[in-house]
Amino acid sequence: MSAKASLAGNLSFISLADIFQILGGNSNTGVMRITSQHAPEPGLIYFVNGDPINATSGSLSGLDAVYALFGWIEGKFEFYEEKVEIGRVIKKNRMEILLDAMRMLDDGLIKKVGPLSFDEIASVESSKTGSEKKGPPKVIKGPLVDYSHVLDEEEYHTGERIARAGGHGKWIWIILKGSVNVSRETPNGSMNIANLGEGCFIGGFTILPFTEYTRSVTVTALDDVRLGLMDTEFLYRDFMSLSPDFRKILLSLDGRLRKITDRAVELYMKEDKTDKGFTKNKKMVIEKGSSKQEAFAILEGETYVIGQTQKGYLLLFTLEKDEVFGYMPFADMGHEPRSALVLASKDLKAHKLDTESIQKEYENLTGTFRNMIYNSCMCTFLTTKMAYHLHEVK
Amino acid sequence: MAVFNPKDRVIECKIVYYGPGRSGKTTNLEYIFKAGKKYTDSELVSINTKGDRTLFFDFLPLGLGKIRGCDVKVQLYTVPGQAKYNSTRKLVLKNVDGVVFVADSLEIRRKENLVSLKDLQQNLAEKNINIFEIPLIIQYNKRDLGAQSIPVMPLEDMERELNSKLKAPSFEASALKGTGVRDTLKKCLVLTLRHLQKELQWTQ
Repeated sequence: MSAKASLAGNLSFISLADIFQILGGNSNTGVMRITSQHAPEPGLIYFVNGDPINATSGSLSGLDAVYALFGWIEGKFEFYEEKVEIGRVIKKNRMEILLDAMRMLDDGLIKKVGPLSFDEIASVESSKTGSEKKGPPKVIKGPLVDYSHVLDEEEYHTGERIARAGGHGKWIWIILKGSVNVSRETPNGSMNIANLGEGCFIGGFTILPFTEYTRSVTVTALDDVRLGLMDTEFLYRDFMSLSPDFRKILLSLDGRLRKITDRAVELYMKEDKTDKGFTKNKKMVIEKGSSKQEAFAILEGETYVIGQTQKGYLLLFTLEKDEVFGYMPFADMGHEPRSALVLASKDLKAHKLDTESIQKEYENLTGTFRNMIYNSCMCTFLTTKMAYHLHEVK
Repeated sequence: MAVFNPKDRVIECKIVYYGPGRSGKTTNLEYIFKAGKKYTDSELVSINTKGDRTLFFDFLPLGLGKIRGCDVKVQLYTVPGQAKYNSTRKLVLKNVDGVVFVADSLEIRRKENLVSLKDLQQNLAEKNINIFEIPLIIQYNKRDLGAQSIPVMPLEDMERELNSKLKAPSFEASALKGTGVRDTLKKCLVLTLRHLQKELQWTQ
């Protein structure tokens, strides 16, 4: 394969359907390579004069592989212009493949490979609310396991406790097999927070610089579970090699998960202490739905992230010095700017982050770090949803 | 916006047949495909979607002549009406240049027509296209059924309900027999090309 791709980009920006039409219109010949964080092997599609003639994706080949690749909603593609020597197995018209693939996607016949969409997460969420169970609780899965930082493996049996809220710990685990339940003990009984499956992490970035910290949740094995112990030494070195701003972001993401969990527990306990006039003497710094791509780290003062439910506004949590708020291109957790607004105390001083260099730094992260970010954001998103729900039923 | 293919010196423009399920969109396209077979080397692509079929083919209407030395290739599509076929609709409506709205004249389908037209407006708006600006033709299909004493809506009523604000050129048709199909398409092509010329400030 020649070293330089003739066309490359992100599937979340240009869909495979669009790429098909571009290559088709230009009658290009060559190989397209698609990689995704969520699939172990890259997918390949071979084009001759703009028509797909063969493809491979995992164990699939030919047309089946092409259809399967339409399910990759996130990933990178690279097209290499070169002579194609593989045999032609696809005879179907290009347009027919496209239209058929779209129909199969809509009919749910093509498996979507990528992070769960908001709707899908919401449907997982609606199957469980606090401690009342409606139907079997669903298990959230993480991205594909990257074994490169797994130091050792540990086994836990059904019902065994892996970590306890309030206990101390210095380990980060990744779930290799089985699923675990995440809960928090409250005076009103145990509050069910989430069920996590393969690819999810137990423990977050905060462990790295502080080496020991207090666990915020209790984790119990739902079935026989195999955990991978992460090499925290190694992750620590990786972590310290990041820019100070980026480290702040990672810790702040973790902080959000803790804070929203605490908040959900408060709502669960019906101990909402927010007083009505709390918006007094506060200024709006980010409007809900704002398209400004700006992010800030707090130097002084506080900001308040506020979401909205059918019952009205809901304070999600307060951010303090060194924490980060605003638009984060890679961290979608259902907060500002798209789905929440941010108020600030009058004395707020914040330092504006360079979102472009942060995005670059993100792209250079190891797979493990990216997976941890994804995991943390998804848990935050789910817990935020849970807080909304608890607010609505209050 | 039409796609210009510099390699073959072809301007490809896209016309989409929209309308409620079973109003006769595919019948229109099948008729055109048969009648215009000599103008096309493309196949008629037909995808079975629930309650409807999605069709596609392209052809070179020779009578239209060339624009700045480029042939004009027309791609004709139908769109599945059902809400869940969102991906297909998105793909088909991308870069659409002209729309034919096929309305069903049957009295019992009155509501479906309104819903579908509203739907079209929304789907176009998502692509930042104003339904009042895009070349649009309305076709009142299945007019022949009136003669078989099946209740059909009077033309004036349909015109008032669907077209009083849009004021789009409209045609009566019986797509099964081919009546009105050609006129509908011809008018749509003329409007679409005129619109493209204006948009791109082409002069012939």
